[in-house]
Amino acid sequence: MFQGAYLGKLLRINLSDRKYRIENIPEKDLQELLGGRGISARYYYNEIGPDVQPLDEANKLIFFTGPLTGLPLPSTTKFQLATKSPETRMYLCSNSGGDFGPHLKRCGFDGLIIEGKAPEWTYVTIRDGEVGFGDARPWEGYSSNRTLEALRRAFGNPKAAALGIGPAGERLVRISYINVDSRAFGRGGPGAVMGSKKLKGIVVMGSGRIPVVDGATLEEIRRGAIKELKITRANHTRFGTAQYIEVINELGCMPARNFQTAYFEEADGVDGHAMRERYWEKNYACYRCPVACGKVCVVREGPHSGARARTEYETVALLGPNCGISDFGAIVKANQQCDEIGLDTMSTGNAVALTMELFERGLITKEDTAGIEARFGSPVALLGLIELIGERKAIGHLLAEGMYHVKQVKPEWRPYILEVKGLPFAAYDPRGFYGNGLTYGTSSRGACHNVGGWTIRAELQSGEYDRFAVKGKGRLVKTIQDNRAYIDSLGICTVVRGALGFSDNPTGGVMNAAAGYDFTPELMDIGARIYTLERLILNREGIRRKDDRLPERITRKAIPSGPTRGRILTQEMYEVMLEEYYQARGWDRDGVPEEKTLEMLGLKGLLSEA
Amino acid sequence: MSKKDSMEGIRVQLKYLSIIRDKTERRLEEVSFPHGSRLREVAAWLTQKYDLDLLDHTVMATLNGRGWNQFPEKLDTKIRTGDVITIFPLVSGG
Repeated sequence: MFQGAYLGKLLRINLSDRKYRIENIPEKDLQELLGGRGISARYYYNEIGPDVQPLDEANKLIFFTGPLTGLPLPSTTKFQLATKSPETRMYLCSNSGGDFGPHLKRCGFDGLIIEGKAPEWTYVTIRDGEVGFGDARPWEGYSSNRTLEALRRAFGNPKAAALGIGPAGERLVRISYINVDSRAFGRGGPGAVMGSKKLKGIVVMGSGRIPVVDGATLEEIRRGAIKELKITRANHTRFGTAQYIEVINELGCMPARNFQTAYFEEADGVDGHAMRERYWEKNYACYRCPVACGKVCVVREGPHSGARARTEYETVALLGPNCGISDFGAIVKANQQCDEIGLDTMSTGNAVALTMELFERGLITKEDTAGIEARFGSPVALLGLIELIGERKAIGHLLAEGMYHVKQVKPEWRPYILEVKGLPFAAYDPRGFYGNGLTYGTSSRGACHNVGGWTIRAELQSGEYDRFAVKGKGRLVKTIQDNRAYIDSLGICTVVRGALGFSDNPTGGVMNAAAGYDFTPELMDIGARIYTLERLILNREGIRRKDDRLPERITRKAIPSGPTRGRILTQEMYEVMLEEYYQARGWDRDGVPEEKTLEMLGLKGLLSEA
Repeated sequence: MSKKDSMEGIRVQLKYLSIIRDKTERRLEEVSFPHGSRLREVAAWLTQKYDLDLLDHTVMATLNGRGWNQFPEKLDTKIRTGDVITIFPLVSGG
């Protein structure tokens, strides 16, 4: 059926016995679930049961590209990971850019499954169809970037694609990330899964060609998309995602001092202009992307002089305003420190902010923080606490276990913890956009703004919705989630989706030219199928309505300052949105998909063939 | 209409964020519009003064924190003294 875009094969590597094999991927599964996030959820459903613990040998790392990964179109670098999250102790889906996905496909594989556990620190090489194993013991303690350098050197080609972990992953810190060519599988702690398997990194290089049906049409689409992106994404090119700092702050949605308020008075020091004028060094672009939204920032003077990192909105907001930090240089330094240790900047920013609030409230003391005066606004505290988490020292040892665990052992801290299902908040305060609350509550991986559906544009621009109303938000969030689910399954970046015709009413041109099958009109249905498949997995892991809830700071405390002063998203308001959402999804009142929904989405048949 | 409106026209605050600020070369200004002015007149003023096209889908605008399009009267929504209008580039997540 597919004449291009897919390779139809996956590579399965077992670290325990160092054996590997190549398997066919059922074409029907690809037709039903597209690729990337959808197909990796399918393999997760089949292979990672509810009893598997995240750091057990039985957990797996399931990587899948999408049909568009590596094709000659703008920003087709994305690939997906499914694994059981060490941070949330449930299903995790994550996407990353970098060159790894395209190279995996050039090796002839749509997917890669890593299973088992190596007896000693190991790295894996994939050269076209050939797999090798190397001794990574000398690299123990390497930062994630140094690990990638070592992998490329060992492979013998500086252009090879690589992913790897830093010391935090080695120490099984449950908020550790996987560095992918300096992009990341950031959230949910997948670095600790690699650490538990004693897998320091994977390096890959392929020389094959990814087949497409109609290269001339793809080239035509590419030229049109580039022309459009240069206009519509000019702001991304100039400021990157840091542009949102000023806007989100002015809209009264910025996390400030552990979400105690939604407006940061000193945002001038950390906004897109500050970044561009004083810290920007150069742009960074993913494969074939004309937008180049990545910003390499360098600190040129002051105590953090020499620090360098690729800062993004979420990182700036959560390590900056959410920790009361108004010094962009300190944020760059903290970002670099997280990268070197191998920590997710978003969960780390939340953990540091929590610590600062607990300290200021007198609930912890310097004895807990190894002598650090953990006050909001202190760069010394920010950097010191990051180090404690990475090294599992003092309070850092507890924070390294993730908020799921912290809530259980410190129930008295719950009023100050901002998370859903164990995943700390992204950098938007849902009291400023009520739909965003439903996003966090119903995201397949906890409080995520992407998987959960980024509602802010619609809540500001559409005539149908009021940002401070609950009506219509259930359907809105479902629609955005379904769109995102199929985008994550295609292998493209969300920034370019519009230019390639992948909206809520997708056009079939790209997929037809790539695969010879246009996937229209069913792409949104595929998104809905993937989302409900993920829900079935979560249900199996014990997730129900009781878990689709927001923390009490959001439902009981009004925003005390700024443009949204007085706003609150009460439990009653939230329940109305949740009810509407379940109805829109065809899930019952406990958040379990109904039989008729499974039939309508074709999931009964699909999953019975497991 | 307040007494202040009747004497001085309608005074509104205009805020320019992100890349829009580069175009206007200022972050904030207070502007007076004739009585009875609507968002439509504000849009026309912004076009005339800064060549900003508010109908362009790459630009977003709010009136007191809500999107212009979200008011029942849309561009015909009347403005009042003390209103805050904010103009910024399209935000679309990431």
